Amino acid sequence: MPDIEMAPYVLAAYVLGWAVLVGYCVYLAAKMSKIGKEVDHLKELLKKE
Amino acid sequence: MKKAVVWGLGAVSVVALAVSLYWIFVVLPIVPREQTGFSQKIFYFHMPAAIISFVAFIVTFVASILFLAKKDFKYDILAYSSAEIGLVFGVVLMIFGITWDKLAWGVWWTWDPRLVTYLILLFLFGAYFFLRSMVSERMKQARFAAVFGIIAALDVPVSFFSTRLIKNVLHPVIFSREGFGLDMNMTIALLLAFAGMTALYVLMLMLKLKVEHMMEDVHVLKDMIESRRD
Repeated sequence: MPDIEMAPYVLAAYVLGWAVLVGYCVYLAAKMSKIGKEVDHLKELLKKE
Repeated sequence: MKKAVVWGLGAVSVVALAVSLYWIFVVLPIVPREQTGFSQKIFYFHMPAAIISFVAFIVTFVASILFLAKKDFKYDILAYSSAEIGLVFGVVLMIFGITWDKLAWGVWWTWDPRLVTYLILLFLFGAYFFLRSMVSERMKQARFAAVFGIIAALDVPVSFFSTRLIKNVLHPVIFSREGFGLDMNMTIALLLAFAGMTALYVLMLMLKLKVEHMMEDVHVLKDMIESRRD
C-alpha cells in the first residue's frame, strides 16, 4: 500500500486512540464531580439529622 | 490528593504527547517501504501503550498479593483501579495494533503469538471485572478478585516474552540483546510518547483512586444517616 493511502488509517488510529484516553479522563472527571456533589449533599443531610 | 500534582501530571502528559506528535509527524522522515513506510508512525504510541498496560496489570498483581497478605481494602481498590486503566491502555494498544497489522501485513488480525497472548490478557482482565460483579459480599469479592488478578497477570510475562522466545513471529522485536533498532530522532519521539503516557497513567490512577475513596465516603455517610434514623 502506498504511503499516501496509509495516512488516513494511521490518522484514524491516532484519533481513536486519543479519543479513548481523553474519553476515560472525562469519564473520571464527571464521576468525581457527581460523587463530590453527593458527598456534600449527604454531609448536609447528616448535619440536619 | 494535591491539585498541584494533578495539574502538573496533566501538563507533563499533554506537553510530552503534543511534542511527540509533532516529532512523529513533522520531524521524523517516513521510513522506507521495507520497514512498513508511513504505518511505522503508529509504533511510537503503540509501544508505550503496550508497556503502560503491562505495568498497570503488574500493579494489579502486586496489589492483589498485598491484599491477600494484609486484608486491607486499599490494596483491593488499587488492584482493580489499575486493572481498569490497564484495560483502557489495552484498548488503545489494540486500536494501534490492528491498524498496523492491516497496513504492514494486509490483514486486520493475525494469529501471531504476541497478539494472541495479549488478546487473552485483555479477556482475562475483562473476566476479572465480570467476576467482581458476580460476588456481592465485599471481602469475598476482593479475595476472589485478588486470586484471579494474580492468575491473569501471569500472562503479562508470557505475552512480553512471546516474541523473544518463539522463532519466526511476525511481531517485530525492537529492543533485544542484538541491539536497539532506533536512531536518535526515533528514540526522542518514543521517549516523549512514553513520558506522556506514563504521566497519564499516574494521573488516571490518582483520579480513579480518588473516585473510589469518595464512593467509600458515600457508603459511610449513608450508613451514618441510616443509623441515626434508626
